[in-house]
Amino acid sequence: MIKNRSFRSRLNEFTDFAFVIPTLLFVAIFQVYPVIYNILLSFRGITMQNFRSGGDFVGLQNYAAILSDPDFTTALLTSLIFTISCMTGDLIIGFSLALLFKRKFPLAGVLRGMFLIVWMLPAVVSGTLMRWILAPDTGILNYALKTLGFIQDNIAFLSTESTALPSVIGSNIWCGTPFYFIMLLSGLTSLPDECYEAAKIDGASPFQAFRCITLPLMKPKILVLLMLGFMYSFKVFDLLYVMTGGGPIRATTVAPIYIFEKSFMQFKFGIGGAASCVMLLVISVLAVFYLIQMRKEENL
Amino acid sequence: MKKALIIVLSLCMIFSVTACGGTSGTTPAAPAQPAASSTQAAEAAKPAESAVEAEPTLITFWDWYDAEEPRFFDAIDDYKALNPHITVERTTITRNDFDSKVVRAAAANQLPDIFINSISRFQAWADAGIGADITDLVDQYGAKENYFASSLEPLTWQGKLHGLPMYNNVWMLYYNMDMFEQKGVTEVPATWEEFRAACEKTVDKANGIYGAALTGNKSEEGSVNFLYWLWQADADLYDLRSDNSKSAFSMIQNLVKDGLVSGDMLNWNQADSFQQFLSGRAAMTLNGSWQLGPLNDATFNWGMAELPVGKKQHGIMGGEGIGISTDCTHPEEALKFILFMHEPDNYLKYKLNSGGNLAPIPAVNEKDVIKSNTKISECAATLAYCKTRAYGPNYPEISSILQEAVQSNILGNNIDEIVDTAAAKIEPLLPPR
Repeated sequence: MIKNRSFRSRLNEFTDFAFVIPTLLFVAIFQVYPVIYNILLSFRGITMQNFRSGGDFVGLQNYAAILSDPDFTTALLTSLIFTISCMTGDLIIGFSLALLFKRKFPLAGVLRGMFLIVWMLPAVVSGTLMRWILAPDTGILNYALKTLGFIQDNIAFLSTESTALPSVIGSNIWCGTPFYFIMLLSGLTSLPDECYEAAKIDGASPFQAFRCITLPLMKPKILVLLMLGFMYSFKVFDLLYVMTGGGPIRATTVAPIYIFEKSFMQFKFGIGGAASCVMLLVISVLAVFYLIQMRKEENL
Repeated sequence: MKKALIIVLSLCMIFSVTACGGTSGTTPAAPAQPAASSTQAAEAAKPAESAVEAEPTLITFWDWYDAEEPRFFDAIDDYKALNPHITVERTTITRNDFDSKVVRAAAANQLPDIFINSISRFQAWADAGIGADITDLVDQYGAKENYFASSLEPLTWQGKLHGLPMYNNVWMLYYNMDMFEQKGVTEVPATWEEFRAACEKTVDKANGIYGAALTGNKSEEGSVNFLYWLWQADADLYDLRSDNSKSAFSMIQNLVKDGLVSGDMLNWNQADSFQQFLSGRAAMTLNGSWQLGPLNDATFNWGMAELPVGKKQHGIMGGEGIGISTDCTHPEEALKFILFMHEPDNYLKYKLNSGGNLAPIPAVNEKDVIKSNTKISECAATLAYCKTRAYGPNYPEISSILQEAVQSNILGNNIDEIVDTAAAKIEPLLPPR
């Protein structure tokens, strides 16, 4: 009898894994292999001139080259500023919207759907749209600001070094907020009503209820969301490429644009590979935290 | 058990998040399959008797034109009718994906037999072993003499020919005649001073009209549109620190500083700056000869002239070439197909010069169709003093350094510092003169 049960559980285990095999295969071929290939690439001095022969093994030379390249360190810093600003903006706006939409009001469903349209737009479309909105002489934002009397002269948002980065951050927040909003809203709706009822009876103000009930209960969700958000924002390429191409000069050159420039414009594949490995490392550290958080949440 | 599953699945997900950032910035787009035309289908239906004696040969051909564009399909069909044993298979890839796709194909030894590219890439590709040395083959057919020597120059690397030119284009000054008349500009600007003066007269800040729309975005286009200024100043990338070179930088910087040209030019590619001109937001633009096509839609009277001259008259020649790859196992057949397209009558029939482009083949330019087109003839005449970007295999990197210098200049930074920084980076990359 016991033997039989253990066989069954073994069979179950096997079935469980069998379901995962297609995904594992997919991931191995399309994701693990390229990553490993990329890591190997980063130790070779591959350029346009020698890529057909494979290039020589150069050890850590590519890493030394990028770490001593001020353009790379600046790009990493720009990436961090970009990512953290985007996460903060996305979270604040997304959370506010989620709180608003938790209350029932007419047309809430339709509006929620409309927010998702923004999220579904390809980044190339959003980028082009944003370029038009922010254009200095013909853009609607300048027109609006001027009509309302906020500014005297048109602002060249994307072609001034000081405003280019904030502008692309703003645009990326616009693209990313709906994701935060929907995720947080689903979290909010699953919070137990009893807590709020009890708090109400105890005479808690809405702000106190938010601070002492909503925030603590939502904390694990927010943490997970922030980590996902970091990984997504850290590797945004298309939106920036369309909006500024990394310019003016290098004001919006984030790490992915630097990598693209090295690999596919200057064809220094080894250098590009090393730079993407550094990026991978940053994201992996975050991924480990993400996994730990996921397990914690699972154990709750 | 459940935990193990969750960890495995989470790992999968994290890989899917990181892998995209880790390997490259772009996802390779699948090349659009060439639409099989009905004529091709008809060809295939024909009995295969005629092909008995010659061995069937497949020539693969990659280009970046619209997949629907008939000109190459016509050439392919006609060639097949004449040589039933040869099939040319065309694949179109978008221009943005083209280079990386070719490079990947090269790494896998799966290059197409023939490919198109900008003439500015050929030296780098020759050096990379992508484009085959076709000097002897071309000589064998005595075909070298069919082309302008200047058109062959950018396709030549270390004395060896690595491609044939498809077409060339040049940069010209386009001006809005109506605006010139209104603002009292009587002479078409022929020099830098006159160009600036015309800008000063036509600029109309209140209505958002600039003197000229220029290109300075962070791409190859930004480099091209600065190089002719640099050359006109009688300078070159070899002497960026010279006073002549600085005068080219300050010319543009002052145009922007004084509000004669929009500083937003650093986000404009050539199509963007041309659009500014076409929509009446700029009185002039310096742009490619291919804009002659879109100019038919202009709602105002326009004129075209040579680029305003600085210290020395120079122009810049661009264009596209066609190369045979090192993976091609039947280069002679491939070359024959190219030469077939380049026969003067065929060249015109397949409109290889369509849209304001110039034929690199003197015999084509002798044809009445071309001679009677005054605008095209005017453009072609400038080829006499045009230079090409022949800066060796490091040009892509040189270009990206130059782009940053151009942008920094538009933003009004110190010119001495800009040229010093750029020169220090560019000089070691230039081939010896």
